Amino acid sequence: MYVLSFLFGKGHEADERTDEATDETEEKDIFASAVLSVLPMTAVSVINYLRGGTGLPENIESYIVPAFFGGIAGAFLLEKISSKWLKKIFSLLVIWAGVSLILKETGIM
Amino acid sequence: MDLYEIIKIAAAFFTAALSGMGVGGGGLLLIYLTLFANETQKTAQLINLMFFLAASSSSLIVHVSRRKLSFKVILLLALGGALGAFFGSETAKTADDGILRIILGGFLTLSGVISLFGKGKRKGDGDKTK
Repeated sequence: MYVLSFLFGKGHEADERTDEATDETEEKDIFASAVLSVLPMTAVSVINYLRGGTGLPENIESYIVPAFFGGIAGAFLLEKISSKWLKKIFSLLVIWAGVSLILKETGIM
Repeated sequence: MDLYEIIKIAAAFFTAALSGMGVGGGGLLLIYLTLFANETQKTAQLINLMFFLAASSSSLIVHVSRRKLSFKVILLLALGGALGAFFGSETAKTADDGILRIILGGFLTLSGVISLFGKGKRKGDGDKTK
């Protein structure tokens, strides 16, 4: 394949682009699998919290209803957005969130 | 509907969209709940978990039909994770809220840095000499 690529110049790049597209698809399959694998862990935690006496918050429906529709929107968006950019945006948000939490808790912010 | 309610719904919708994409989002809602909505840590954690149940269940309706899911890996992760989640939530019942927040902040920062700067190994890496 690489011999042919060198012979035809751009052929090699086209081959690499196909590899990248495959990686992108596989990465998105992994994201989708991650959602399914976290579901049972979440269910166990919810049951345990409720059994432990943590009361059900009064305004829970304000979060649950948008979450239901947001989840569907996210699943469709996964098809459209590059996983590379998705990871970058999310990483920056998570760093901001983590640092904010530490600063607030330690009284700096 | 007041502005606070609109912000709350928007925060839940956008973080659910991130959760539905499988890159996370629940952690971000937890930050919103504790830093901006002033919920107590344990109430915020419960809201966050229930929120994730709704977001992930609805997104799975789409994922199952569109993506190739590796059920063997999912089963292994789910079993191990469920066990870990049980011990984690047991510990959270008695743990101090402040310590939980600092641990969460540390984990979030660390995972963000690893995800941003870590170089994931792609299929075919180290196989370029063929």
